[in-house]
Amino acid sequence: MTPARKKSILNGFWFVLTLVCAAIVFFPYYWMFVSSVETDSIFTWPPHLIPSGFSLESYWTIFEERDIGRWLLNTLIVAGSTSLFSTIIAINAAYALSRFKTTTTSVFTVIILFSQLLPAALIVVPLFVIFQQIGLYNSLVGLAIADTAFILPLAIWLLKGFFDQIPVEIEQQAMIDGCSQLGAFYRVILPLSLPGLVVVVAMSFISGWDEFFLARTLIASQDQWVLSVGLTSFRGEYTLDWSQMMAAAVIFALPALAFFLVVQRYLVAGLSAGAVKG
Amino acid sequence: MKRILLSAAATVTLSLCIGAAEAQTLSVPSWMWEEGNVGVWFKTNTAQFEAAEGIKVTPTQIPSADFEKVVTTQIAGGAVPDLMTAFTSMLPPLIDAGTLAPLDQCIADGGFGDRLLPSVSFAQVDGKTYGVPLTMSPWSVVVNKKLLADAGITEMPKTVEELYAAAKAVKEKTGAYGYAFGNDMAAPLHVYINSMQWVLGFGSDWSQPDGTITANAPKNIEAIGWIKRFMDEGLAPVGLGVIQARDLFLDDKVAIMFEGPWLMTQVASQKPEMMADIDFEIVPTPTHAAITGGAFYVIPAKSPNPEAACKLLTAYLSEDAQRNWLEGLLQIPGTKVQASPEFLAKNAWVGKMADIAAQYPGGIGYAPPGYLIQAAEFRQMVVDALSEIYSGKTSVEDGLNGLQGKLENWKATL
Amino acid sequence: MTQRINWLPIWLLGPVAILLAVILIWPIVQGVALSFFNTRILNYSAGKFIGLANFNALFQDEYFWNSLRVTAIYGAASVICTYALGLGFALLLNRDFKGRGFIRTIFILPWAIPEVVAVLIFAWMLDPQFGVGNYLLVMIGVIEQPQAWLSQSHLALPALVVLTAWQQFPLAMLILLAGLQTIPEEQYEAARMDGAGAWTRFVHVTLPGLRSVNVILILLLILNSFRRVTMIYAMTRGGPARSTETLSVLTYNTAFEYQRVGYAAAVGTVLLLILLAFSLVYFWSIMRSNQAK
Repeated sequence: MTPARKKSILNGFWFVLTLVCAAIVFFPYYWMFVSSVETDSIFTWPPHLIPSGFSLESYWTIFEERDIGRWLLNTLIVAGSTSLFSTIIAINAAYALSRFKTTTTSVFTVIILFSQLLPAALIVVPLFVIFQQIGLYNSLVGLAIADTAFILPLAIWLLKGFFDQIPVEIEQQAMIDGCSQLGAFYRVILPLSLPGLVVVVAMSFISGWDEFFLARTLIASQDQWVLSVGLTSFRGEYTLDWSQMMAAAVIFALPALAFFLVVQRYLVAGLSAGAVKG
Repeated sequence: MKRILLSAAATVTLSLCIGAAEAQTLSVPSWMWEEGNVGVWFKTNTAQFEAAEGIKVTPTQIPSADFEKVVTTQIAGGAVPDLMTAFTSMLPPLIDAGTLAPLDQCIADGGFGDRLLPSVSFAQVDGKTYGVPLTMSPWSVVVNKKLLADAGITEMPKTVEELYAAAKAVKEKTGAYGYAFGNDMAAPLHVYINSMQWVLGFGSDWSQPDGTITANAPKNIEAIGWIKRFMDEGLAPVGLGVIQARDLFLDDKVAIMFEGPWLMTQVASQKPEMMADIDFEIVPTPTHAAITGGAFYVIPAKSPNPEAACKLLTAYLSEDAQRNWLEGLLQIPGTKVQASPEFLAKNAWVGKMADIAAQYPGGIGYAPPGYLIQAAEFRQMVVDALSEIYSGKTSVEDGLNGLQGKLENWKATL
Repeated sequence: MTQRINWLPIWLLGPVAILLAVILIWPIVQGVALSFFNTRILNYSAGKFIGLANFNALFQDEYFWNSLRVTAIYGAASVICTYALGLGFALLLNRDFKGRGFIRTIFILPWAIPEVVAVLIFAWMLDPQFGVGNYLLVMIGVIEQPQAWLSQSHLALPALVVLTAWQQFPLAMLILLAGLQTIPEEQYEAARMDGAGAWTRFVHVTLPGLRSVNVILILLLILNSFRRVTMIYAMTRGGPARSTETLSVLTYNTAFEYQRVGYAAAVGTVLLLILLAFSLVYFWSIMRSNQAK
């Protein structure tokens, strides 16, 4: 066998292996979707690996029988506010950490790194009490504020990475041209870090969208529930079957996936740069 | 930038506040809103109340497995419901923390005090009444007589040995299960209730009123040993949730279930032709104890609308509504209702059920004596041990000895 | 002029400071303080100061030791599986082939799915009666008959580890992929010249090249596994028979299921101390790798 031929066989082998792995990794998604649109009963043994038909009935049913619409709206409010709050706060903070090297800012850097690692399980117990005292308990805005605090450290860290890459000279030029320092930042630096902004907007949106643990603890009444809480309430109840649950799962997962696919290129670059850099 | 943030936040808050400031509405959490006919009863009576009083009611469905945790957290967090249902075992911790309003005035105003079942005493502390019985149906036995007859059994088993023999015969002659109960460990409450039917049925308990732990008492070992025997010999299905077990019963695949009247109701509504084949019977355990879960209506001390909540409570307890609970749902309501002779003639088993409940009172099976306030944690520890025993990780004796030690250690941490 | 305080960064950082203080720092301080009180959730403000009694009780409590053990086993198993998958797929993706971007997207997808949805999918796939996971596992001969994965104490933890690895490996993969791309091609060339086979190149070039990334990544995975609650809680709630009750889940269950807030805070405080110890190592390695650059 010639070395070239051997190499191409080897390449073929790796390629097939990659495809097989990708198929396995993707299978749970496939199964979620198939279970939600299968026309035949999904309670069969053996299960139909290929759906025997296509029907959106499960989707209609959950919208009719459950408060999914309300939960979708609530989730949207929480995710939207989380995204708005954290982007605005993170922009300013990241700029400060990137451009001012003082004792205050380095202390801050350490605090932000540390707060990323605190155990949520211990935090929620007193947070539940504090929220009740300051009137944020059982409020969607309150939940968004809590979500913001949890995502902020990462958001700041990512944006700081983007700002760091922009030479200070650009800003100084703008300041010579008559901008204040902040003006230079907002008018010149921000537009240049648009990819970073997109990442932070999307990431904080997704984190507010997905969040379950805080929502479960800080929201009491059912009309304020978000999707993650509503969805888990289906389990343990037996009135809803798995195909409807999978339909709800698809509805819940799709926006997060869509957002993710749009920004994944930036996100990957930002995250890996951040992580490798530390 | 800041201004944008503030105005955006203000808009969101504003829109939320507008949503909250509607006419008077009562929030009423319960696990019963979606429970088949019971849910229909609640919705019907609530709709009548809304129409008559012009007060809106927000029904909040919380699954029974989560109910205690969710409402306890709500009350602790200040999102207090107006009126709610409560499992009997939830009363001691709620009363102890001073979170329930005394209902004596409401009972007097509503004029239903003399109709309340004696079990109202579970909600009475220091001469005050903190809850009104909602339902007091007993857990006993529901039997598929036809399936038993197919297996050549004509007499309802009266002892555990007879139950075992019957289950064996059913399995051998029909292939169906002789006995079934919910043992899905994801629903610990059901696993616990079933164990209580056996443990109390053998005249024992997990603990005593003075706090002594009696988890490994010989009678407990005997009782759990029987459950285990049914599972090991394939006479009872393993790992089945109580809902699936009931479905099997409706499917003629189970002869005997330790259950309450709700299973009869389920058959009556889903498979009426089967009613002729089934009956409500005495538990074939030594003491025949028919344990009661029972539920109460309570009004929290911080209920935002206590007067309206009392009105709704009074509506639920009206004689018509209560009679409907008995004759429509075929379950024992929280007040004394005189059933009509026609009804009793048509549903003989209901009279039998009332007799069983009166003759073999098993007490509140959900609440471990001596640990009424810590009931949830206690139950979880019992179910942890049962789960290891049922799945064969440990023997009955070792499992319960282990439980004894764990409960004693736990007692020391209180 | 140099003496004047520059207020701008302080203004810019103000909102973060307030938020973190109210939502993260103050609750942590309060949580630690609560651990010295005997208090239940319905009247947490009327707690009684009992000094270290909660901790004394904790160290006698076998459920605490069980949780510690579960945390360690779950942490080790999930980190190993996550890392192994991450490294394997990173190596696969680090080759040049057609459609690489597309395949990479597929490999990252599990990370984008809400944890709650991932849990529901797996719970459905592992359903004892109709679960396709059971079916496939029986088909390829891993198990003889369908298992009730989530209600048996020796199977729930493995199921949870598989779910964790599936959901978390993309993070490991991305970081390792970035790490792989920093290894200069010349090193591989040099190794080939010396006649090194693929395995030797992997052991002597790839692994050493990933060293600094590895330390940080593995510590990060460990910290995440200790802090994880959503996935475990939504999947098993710590059961059956406490076989999946990590310290995080025990903290939550004790506070909200068993209503013992003070005792829960004591569990959480121990968890906090463990996390702090690991975090210090984590920061120390970050600093060191930064200095090395």
